This record gives sequence, structure tokens and C-alpha cells, in this order.
Amino acid sequence: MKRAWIFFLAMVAGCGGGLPAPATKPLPKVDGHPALLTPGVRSPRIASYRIEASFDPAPDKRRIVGKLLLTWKNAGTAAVTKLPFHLYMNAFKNADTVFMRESRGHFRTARANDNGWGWIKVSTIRINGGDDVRAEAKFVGDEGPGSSLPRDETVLEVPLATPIAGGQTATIAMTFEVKLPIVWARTGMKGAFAMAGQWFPKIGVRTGEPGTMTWECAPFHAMSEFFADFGTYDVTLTVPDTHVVAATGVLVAAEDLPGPTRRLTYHAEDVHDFAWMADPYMERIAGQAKTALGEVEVVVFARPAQRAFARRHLAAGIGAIESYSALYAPYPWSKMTIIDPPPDAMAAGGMEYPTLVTTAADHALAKPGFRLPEFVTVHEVGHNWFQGMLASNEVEDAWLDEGINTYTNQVVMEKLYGPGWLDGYGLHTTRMDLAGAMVPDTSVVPIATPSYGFPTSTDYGLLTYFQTGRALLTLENLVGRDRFRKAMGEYARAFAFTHPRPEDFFSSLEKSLGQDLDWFVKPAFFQRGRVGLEVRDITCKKRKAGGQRCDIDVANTGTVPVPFEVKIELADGSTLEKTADGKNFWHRFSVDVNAPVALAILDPDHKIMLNDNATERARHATRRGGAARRFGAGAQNVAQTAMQVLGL
Amino acid sequence: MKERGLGLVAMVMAGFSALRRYPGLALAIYLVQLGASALVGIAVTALVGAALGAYPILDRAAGGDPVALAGVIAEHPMIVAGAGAMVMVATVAYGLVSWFLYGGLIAVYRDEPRGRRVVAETFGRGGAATYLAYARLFALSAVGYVAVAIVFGVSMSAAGPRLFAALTTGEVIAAVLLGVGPAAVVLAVLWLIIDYARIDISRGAGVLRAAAHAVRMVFTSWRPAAFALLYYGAFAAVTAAAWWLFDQSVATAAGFAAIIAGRQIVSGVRFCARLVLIAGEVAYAEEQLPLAPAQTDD
Repeated sequence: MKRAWIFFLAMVAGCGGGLPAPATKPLPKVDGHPALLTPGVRSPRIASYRIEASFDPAPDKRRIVGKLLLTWKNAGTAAVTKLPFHLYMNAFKNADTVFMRESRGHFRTARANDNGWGWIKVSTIRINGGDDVRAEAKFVGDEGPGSSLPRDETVLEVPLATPIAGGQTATIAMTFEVKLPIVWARTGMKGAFAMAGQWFPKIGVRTGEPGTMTWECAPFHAMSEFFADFGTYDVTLTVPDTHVVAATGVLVAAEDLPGPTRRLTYHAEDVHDFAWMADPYMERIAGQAKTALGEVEVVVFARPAQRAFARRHLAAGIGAIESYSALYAPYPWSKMTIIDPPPDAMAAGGMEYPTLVTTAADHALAKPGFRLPEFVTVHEVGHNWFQGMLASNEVEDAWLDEGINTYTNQVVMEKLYGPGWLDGYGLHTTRMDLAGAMVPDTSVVPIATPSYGFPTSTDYGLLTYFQTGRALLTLENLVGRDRFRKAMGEYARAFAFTHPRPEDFFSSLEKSLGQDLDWFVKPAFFQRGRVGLEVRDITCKKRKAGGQRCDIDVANTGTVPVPFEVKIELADGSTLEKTADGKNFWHRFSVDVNAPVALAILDPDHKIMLNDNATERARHATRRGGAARRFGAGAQNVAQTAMQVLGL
Repeated sequence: MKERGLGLVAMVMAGFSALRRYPGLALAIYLVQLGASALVGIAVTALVGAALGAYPILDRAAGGDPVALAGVIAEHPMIVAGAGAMVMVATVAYGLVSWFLYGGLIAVYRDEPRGRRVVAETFGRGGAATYLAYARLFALSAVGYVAVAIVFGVSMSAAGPRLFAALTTGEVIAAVLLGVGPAAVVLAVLWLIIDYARIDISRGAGVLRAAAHAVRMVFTSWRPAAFALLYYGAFAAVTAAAWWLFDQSVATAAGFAAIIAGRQIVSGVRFCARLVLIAGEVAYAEEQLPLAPAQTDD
């Protein structure tokens, strides 16, 4: 008996499987193609980086030591007297940072690890080859003198002894050292897996009209992502020769060094970030996506246990590139890298960087057909348009990339996999429909709220992603699918490789559609916009002349005045269709009919995706007992089973 | 050393024999249980019908559309909470009644009375005589339930990350076993001890002595555990088979009637299995060394 128990426990404990010791990998072949599919400069290339970094993955080190040379152009007309830099990794320095205070140590499903703090230290700063000015640089933030809170260290401001005049270019040389956290909030190490995102000092962005430009360089907030200028990146990584490495851009040089290390050099153009992954166990599979500009090499990195998922991610990645390219603008880069983190490092998953994304959702329950893994890949790859190319400010206007991308995900997933792409466990639906049913909008702020202004991460996620997606799908259904998609494509092409703002988006749509959208946009995006369609009452009276006079009272309890259709079913099986123009939030339809009204359905084709009143949207004239009896029978069965388990 | 007491087959035989001997009693207790659960069903029907009966989404939810069901639950959480509360209150109330039913049933199975009136008297007297002692036993068993909760917490915290990271069905099963298995085993052992303690209380022992004796009975022979395992196996098999057989037919009206009948057959089989378990345990306990004459120790 005792032996049986020991065997059982050993079986259960051992199911995770062990990984072999890391072995030396063959030197990777360089990519034999340029970073862009076709030559030419796509973006203003304001901030270009040359970085040399070495990586020590030892568990007690988790260290990156590097130096960078930034070439930065003052695109404005006024002189710049200071340079602010994001030191994102300091968000994970201790429990007192802005990020940790706002997140309370939780991010998505992960929790901060007390033994896993990370940080970045900048040792030297030289402007235009001058003296080291590190001592003059200071951390800036909201915590002013006298505050009981310690100073956040995610923004370092460098005062300039000599201002940089408008139109002038400066070089900034820095040396820095990073300790990666235990994987957390998109970045860090878990076991042998390392994901380096937001790992180097990164200059802020000057925004506004020339002459009145100001710096955008917010501290790292828990619910915000990133904002940076376009440029070129030439990054040399010195890594152990046991590790497989993947990075933004293309591999242009690889050489083994004396000792168990190698040097890999990557080059990327017209991107605004650079991320990389190192892991001794990853495998690589590849395919091609066809676009109007040529074939894009799509590569997925995953461990052997995730091989089946890697194939699904590859197909989804190829489908996403081809679909987004057709909808908006061809993918301009020659390569797309998709990292599938190990399951225990999923905190690094589901994040976008230019030409490199991390995916997620590999799980036994995500059987083929239940396409959550594919969805994550499509979403992250889609970010190469909505924020990779249309580099909106994710701190101030997060919905502008996340929401538009979520809208497009719905379009692309349906195109690739059909309308019931979430298929399994009794479901045959889409993620947006399911989420719409499960998470009614109870938030108290509008969609157009800065990412740090949301009360909770649930509000942020609901509004920034789903509510924006639903609003755009509603608008698409109201103005017509083809017209709307054409307008979206025109926006994408007009603002590619710029930093669009919400007003750019809406004015572009209005121009393309040739109509004013204020009636919808203002309440839906800038107020607490929602739609609540409701059949309030159905009454019928017999007429002396014969037949029935029926009144159907309908209401929109929300704030967005949308027109909607009404389908009226009569007791004799015939139907009537009416339309409410939506200008009033209450409407009575009076109809003279031969048989009484049996059922009224508002928005029968589910065009008003913003509607968050699924129940009262349709109503029988009289109560029916069948469904309630089934629920009652179910409750009886649950109660009886519970009684049998807990009682006699 | 030869083990004292009935063998496993004899326990099963004794269980079935008692069930055959007192079918009326079994039916009466089953009707109490059915009545209590039916009240819940009626109340939930009234609640849901009054609140949502006019809305077609309820038809879709009842017809097996999970998105509609999710919508109903999300938009009307108080209805769901109300229905859940009804189930919970009824289950707790039935649990309290069960103490009386246990006492009466064990008395009948021990004394083997003949004649409807004598059986009824024995049942009533047995239930009344042991009720408060069973309540004290429940209080004592709280220690065991705390242990179950601790084991569950520890094993789930170990299994949670494995479950979250499971890539194969095997890994899911292993994680669930690791997370739930230890607590389930401790709970099953606790319930087994409570079963035998109830029998000893019915034989006149005080709660502490009965509990101690029950622990000894459970841990000195494999037979009580094996016999209970047979019951749990039967319970799980019948429930799983019913789920597989009836789950698809809910969507249609004919299926609704079939499922009501089917569920009662399943519940009846499970209930009979429970009586077989109790009767077998009574027979096994009667074969054990007699308890010392002390009547109370608590």
C-alpha cells in the first residue's frame, strides 16, 4: 500500500518532465535578405540605435551589459534643452515603483516575485562625444519633494549644456547594465528562457506642432504600453553558444567567439523598438506569407513540447500577415518572428514588438478548433500595423491600436477560420461575442481614457479592446461593410509610419466616408457610450373593425443614439419589420394586424454590437414557462445530487 | 493474522439483503429527499419564470446555447445567486434532516424489526435517540473538515501552476489528481470514519468513544475502505453514464420528460447504493469486538 502511494506521488510529481543540459547549437545562418521587402525609407527615422550587449543567463545573474549609441534628430523648429529616457526595467526594481503601486503586484495572471526583481543602471552618458554627464541626469516623476513615496526611476532626464537646435542631429552614447526580472509583465527570465523587451534606455518622443513640441516620456504605468520614434537598429548580442536567439529585424552577422559564446548582429529599419529572446531549447519552424511587396519569411520559435501549437501559430501568423496586408497596407518588412514562450513563462507571452511578437494560450484545453492560440498570434502580428506602422501613443490613446486591432481581429479570424472560430466545449462563436455576453460594460470612464486613468485593469481591457472593437463593428454595420473597410484602409495607408492621434483617425474616416460621424463618435468614444436596446412592453387590443391594434414600446437605455431594426412576429406566424431611427431613446410602434404580436426582436441581425442588453433585446408578448421549467428541473437535479453527496 | 469481521462480499450481500428486506423504508426516505429537491425545482422555476420567462434568450440558454447562458448569468447575477441559495439552503436543511434519517435507518438495520408498525417505531426511536449525538459528531468532525481544507489548499497551490501550464490531457489529469486527489482521499476517509462512528453511537457509545473506535475500524482493515470505494465507484459510474446518456436530450420537449425520468432512475440507483453501503457497514460493525459498556463519555 505504502509503495503504491509512493509510486502514485512520484508519477504525479514527475509529470512535468525534465529538460536536458543545454548543448552547443550550430551557428545560425544569417538571413540572406534585407530588413525591408523593398528598398526605401518608410519613416522619419528620428531615433536610431547601435547597441552592443552581452547576456549572462546564469540564474543568479540574469544580466545584460551593454553600450548604445543613439542618433537622435530634433524634428521640431525649437531647440531642445533636455533629453528624457525611459528606463522601463526599473519598474520592476521594488514594490514602490509606479508600475508596482498601480498593479499591486499583479499583471494579467502573473504575480510579482519577491526574489525576481529587475533593474537597469545607466553608468555613463556622453552627448555628441563630450564628457560624461551621468551625474547631471536625474529621475523625474510625480513624486515631488516632500512626497512620502520614493522616486520612480523609469524616466531619466538628461539636461543639455548645449541645446540641440531644431533640425539638428545629436549622438548620445550610454553604457548600461540590466538585471532581468523573473519573467513578469512581458519581460524577464523563467528557467532558461529569457525574453528581453524594453531592456535598453529609450528616448522619449517629441509631439505636437513644430515650434510647440513637447516631450512625451511617461513613467512606466501598470496598464500602459509604449510609445517611441521610428529609426534603424543595429544590435549586436553576445550570448552563450548553447542558446537559440531570435530578435527584431534580420540576422546580418554571426560569429563564434573564443569560449562558449557567440556574437549575433541584427539589423532593422523603420521600427520603433527592438526585442530579443534567448533559450537553449527552442526549435524553429518557418513558412512564407505572400504580400503585394513580396514574400515574408515567418518564423516560429517554440520548445519541442509545443511543436503542435507552433504549427498552429505559424499558420495563423501567415494568415494574419496576408489578411492585414490586403486590408490595410502590405507588410513592409522581410521577416516576422513569433516566439511561443514555455507555458511557465507565459507572462512573457501576448506582446508585440516590431517584426517580433510573443504569442500565448498554448494549453491542453485549446484543442484544434478552439482557436485561442491562433487568436493571440493574429492579434499580436496585427499589432505590426496598429502600433508597428501606425505608431500611436499607447500611453495616452491605447484604444487607437488595441481597439482597432481587436476590431480587425474579428474580421481576420472570421476570414481565416469562419464565423464560429471558437469551436469546442459547446461553443461555436467568436471571442468578442463570448466576451460581450460574459462581461457587461459596467465601467465608469469612456473608451478615450489615458491608459493610466482606468480604475481597474478590467476596465482598461474591456474598453480599450472589446468596447472599441464593438463600437467599430457597430459603425461598420451602420455605414456599410465595404465602405467602412475601404475607409479603414485609407486611414492605415495615410498614417503609416507616423504617430496618429484619435482626431486623425476620425477625420480620416469622415473624409473617406463623406459623412459626419460626430453623432456616433462623441458618445461612443469620448463619453460613457453604450447602447441598451430593450423591448419594454407589448400590448394588443381587439379592434371593433376586426384584427388587433398592438403597441410595441422599445427603448435604448444607453447613450449612443443608434438606428436599429425591429422584427415583429405575430401569433399567426407572419412577421413585420420596422426601423427605429434612434434619434429618440424611446419609441412606440403601433401596428394594426390580424393576429396579436407574439414576439418582438430589436436588432435581429445583431448589427449593433455595442448593445450590452442581450436579455431584454427580444421579448415574448406573454411569459413562457418551458425554459424556466428546464432550469427548475436542473436545479432539482443539482439539489438532489448535493443531498445525496452531503446527506443520506 | 486473520482479520476479524465480515469479508467484502459478505458486506455487499448484507447490504443488498437489508435493502430487499425494507423496500418501503427505502422508498419513504427517498421520497423525503425527492420532495425536498422538488421544492427547490419548483421555487427555481417560479423565480426564473417570473424574472426571465418573457425573454427568448432564456429559451436559447435552456436549449444549450452557452453564449446565451453566459449572457443570462452575466446580466442577471442575482437570479443565479437566488437559485444557488435555494439549492444550498435546501441541501443544508436536508443534511440536518439526514441525521435523523441516518439514526433511524441504522437502528432498523441493526435491530431488524418485523412489521410495518414496529419498523416505523424502531426508525423513529433510533432517529430521535441519536440526533443530538450526531450533531455533536458533526461538531467534532469539523476538525477533519479543516484538515481537508488545508490539504486541499496545499495541494491546489502545488497543482495550480501545473494545471495552468498543462499542454496535454495527461498533464491536465495529473494536475487535477495532484490538486484534488489528496483532499478527496482525506475527505473520503473522514466520511468513512463518520459512517462507522454513527453506527457505534447507535450502539450506545458516546461520541468520542465512537469516533475513536471508528478510526480503529477504518485503519485496521482494508475492507471498510474497499467497500466504500465500491460505493464511490458505483456513484461516479452511474452519474457519468447518466451525464453521457441524457445530456444531449435537454434541448427538446420530449427530451425534457425523458431526462426527468432518467435523472430519477439515476438518483434512485445511487440512493440504493448508499443504503447498501450503510447496511453493509452496519453488518461489518456488528461483527467487530463489542464496545465496552460505557454509555457516555461526552
